[in-house]
Amino acid sequence: MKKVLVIEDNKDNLQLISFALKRSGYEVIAATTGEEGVEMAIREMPFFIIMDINLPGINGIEATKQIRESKADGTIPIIAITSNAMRGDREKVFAAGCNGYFEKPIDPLKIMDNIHRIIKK
Amino acid sequence: MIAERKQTETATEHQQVFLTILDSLDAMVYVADMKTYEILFVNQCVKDVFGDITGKICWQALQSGQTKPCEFCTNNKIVDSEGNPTVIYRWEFENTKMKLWYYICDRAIKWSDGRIVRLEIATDITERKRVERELRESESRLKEAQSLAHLGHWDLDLRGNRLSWSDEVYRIFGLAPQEFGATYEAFLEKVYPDDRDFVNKAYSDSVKDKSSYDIEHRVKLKNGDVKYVNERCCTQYDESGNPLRSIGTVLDITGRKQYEEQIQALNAGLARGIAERTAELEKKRQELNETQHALINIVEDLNQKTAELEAANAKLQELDRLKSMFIASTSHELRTPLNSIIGFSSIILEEWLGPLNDQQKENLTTVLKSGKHLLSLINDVIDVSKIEARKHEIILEDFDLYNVMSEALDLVKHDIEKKGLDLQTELIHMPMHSERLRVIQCVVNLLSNAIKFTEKGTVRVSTRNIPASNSGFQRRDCIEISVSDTGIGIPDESISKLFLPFVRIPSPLTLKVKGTGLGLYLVKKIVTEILSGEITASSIDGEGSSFILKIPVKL
Repeated sequence: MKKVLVIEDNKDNLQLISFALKRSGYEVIAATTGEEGVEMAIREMPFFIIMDINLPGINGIEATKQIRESKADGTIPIIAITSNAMRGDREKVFAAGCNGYFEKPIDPLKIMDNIHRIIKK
Repeated sequence: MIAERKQTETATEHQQVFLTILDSLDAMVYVADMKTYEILFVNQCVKDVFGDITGKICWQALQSGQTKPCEFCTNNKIVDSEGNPTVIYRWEFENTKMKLWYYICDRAIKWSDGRIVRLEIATDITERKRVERELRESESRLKEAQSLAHLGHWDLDLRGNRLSWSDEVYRIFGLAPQEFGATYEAFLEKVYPDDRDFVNKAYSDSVKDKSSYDIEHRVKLKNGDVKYVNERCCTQYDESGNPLRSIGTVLDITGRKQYEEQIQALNAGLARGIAERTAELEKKRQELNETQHALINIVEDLNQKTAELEAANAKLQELDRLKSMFIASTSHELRTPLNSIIGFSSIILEEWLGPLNDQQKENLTTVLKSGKHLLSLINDVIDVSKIEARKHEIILEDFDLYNVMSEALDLVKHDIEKKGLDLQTELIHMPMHSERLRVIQCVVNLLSNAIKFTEKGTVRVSTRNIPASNSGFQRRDCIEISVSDTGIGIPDESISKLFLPFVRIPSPLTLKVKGTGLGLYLVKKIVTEILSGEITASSIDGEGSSFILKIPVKL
C-alpha cells in the first residue's frame, strides 16, 4: 500500500483528506506541524505529500523548501493546499518546489481527481 | 418963497434920490395905467432890457407879439371891485420867450395925478429857479436812489429830540409822516420789541463812546410784517464833547435777510440732506458690513461644517473599510467549520462510511444543501466586502474568451443536463487581457440564475465583438456576453431592483430556488468596479430574461 504524508493542522480537513485517500487505497500518515512534517517526509519517504501551506511553526512553503533541500528523494510529489485568501500563494508554492496545488475548501468527492491530475504530470 | 422953493428943491432932490435908488435896483420897476395899460414910469433896469418904453402899452412893450392884454394880468387881483387898492400880489412868472424867471410884486398905488396905477417890481430869479430846479432834481434823484437802494437817511437833533426822516425811511418803516412822532422814542417804538433794548443800547453806547453805530435790527410794521434794517450813524459833538446831532442811514436789508434765510434754509436743507444721505449711506454700509459678517459667518460655518463632514466622511470611509475587513475575517472564520459540515455530509451521503436509509439520506441532503447555500452566501459576502474594501486581488491574465466561456459552461453543464434544458451557444474566439477568474465568476453567476429560473426550454449563450467605434460607453474594443433564457422572466417594476443587495424578486420560484440576494449585486460590482464594463438586464415577464455584459477586451 502506497504511503501518503498529509501535513495538515486542521483535524477536520485531515480527516476528510484521509477518508478520500484511504478510499483510493493509500496508507495515510499525518503530521500537524511543519517541523514534524519535514522530519516525517525525510524519514518515511512517502509516495507523495499533501502539504497545507498555512501551518503553525514553519509554514508549508518553508517546509517544502526544507524537504527539497534535504537528502530525501527530491522527486516526491508535493501537493499544496492553498487558501484563496492568501495572495500570491500559487507563485510561492511553485517557487518553493511544489508540483501542484488545490484550494480550500476541501471537497472530499473531488480531491482525488485533483491529486491524480497533478501526480500524472 | 425961497423956503417954498427950497422946499420944492428939496422935494425935487428927494425925488431925484428916490429915482437913483430905483435905478440902482437890480429889479425891473415900472408903473402902468390900469385902464389904458400905458406905461407911466420905468427904472434903469427896464430900460437896460427893453429900452425906454415910457408911454407905451405894457402888454405890447413887455410881451412882444400880443394882440390883447396879458391873460395873466394881475390888475384885478390888486384892487377891489370899486378899484381901491387891496393887497400886494406876489408871484413868479416865466417869460418863455426870453427864458427868464421873474419874482413879481404887484400893487395898486395912487399916482401923482390921483389915479390908481399898478406898480410892478420884477426881480430876475432865473438863476435861483435854475438852482431850485437842480436842487429839486437832485433831491428827486436822491429819493430815487434811496428808494432804489432802500436806503433812507435820518437826522436826530439831540438837543430838541427832533428826528427827521427821509421819504425812504418812512417807506421802509411803512409809515406816513403824520403817523410818526418824529422823536427818538417814537423811532424805538417802531423797532421790533425784542430788538429794542439792543438798539437803544447800541445807539446810546455809540453816542457815549463816540464809537461807530452799525447794527442790524428788525422793524415791526403796522400790518405785522417784519423788516430787517441796517442802521449806521455818526454823531456830532460841541467843543465840550456834548452830543449835538446824529445823522444816520437806514438800509432795508429784508431782501438780503430773506435771501440769507433762504440760503441758510437751503444750506440747512442741504446739510440735512447730506446728513440724511450720509446717515443712509452709513446705515447701508453697516447693513453691508452686517451682511458681510453674516456671510463670513456662514462661510466659516460652512467651512466648519465641510470640515466636520469631511471628518465624518473620512470616519465613515474608515468605518466602512473596517466593516468590510471585519466581514471578510469573520466570514473566513465562518467558512472553515462550514467546509467541515459540507465535507463530512458529502462523504456520509456518498455512503463512504456505510449505507444510509432514505430518511437519513433526505435529512443529510438538506444539511448539505443548507451548508452549500450558507457557504455561497458567505463567499459572496466576502467577495463584496473585499471589493468594497478594495482588498480584492487583481490577477490579470491573457486568455481566449472562447476558453473562458467553455470553462464556465463546464461548471454548470451538470445542472443544465439535470434540468433537461436546451443549451444554445454561439461563441467567438477573442484574445483578451483581463481578470479571467472574474469573467468566469460573472458568467457562471448569470448562467446559474438562468438555469435556476427556467423550468423548461432554452438557455442561450452568445458572445460577440464590439469594436471601439460602436461601443458607445467606452472608447475601447469590447466584447459582449449575452445570457438569455426562456424562464419565468422579471416583472417590469422589478428590473430596477435586480442589482440591489439582498433583494429577491418575488416569484413562484422564490421559495423553491435558493439564493443569497447578493448574486447580481456582486456581478454588477465585479463588472463595473473590476472589469470596467457594464451590465444590463431585459425581460418579458413570463417569457424569459436576458442579461448582457459588456467588458473591454483589454483591461
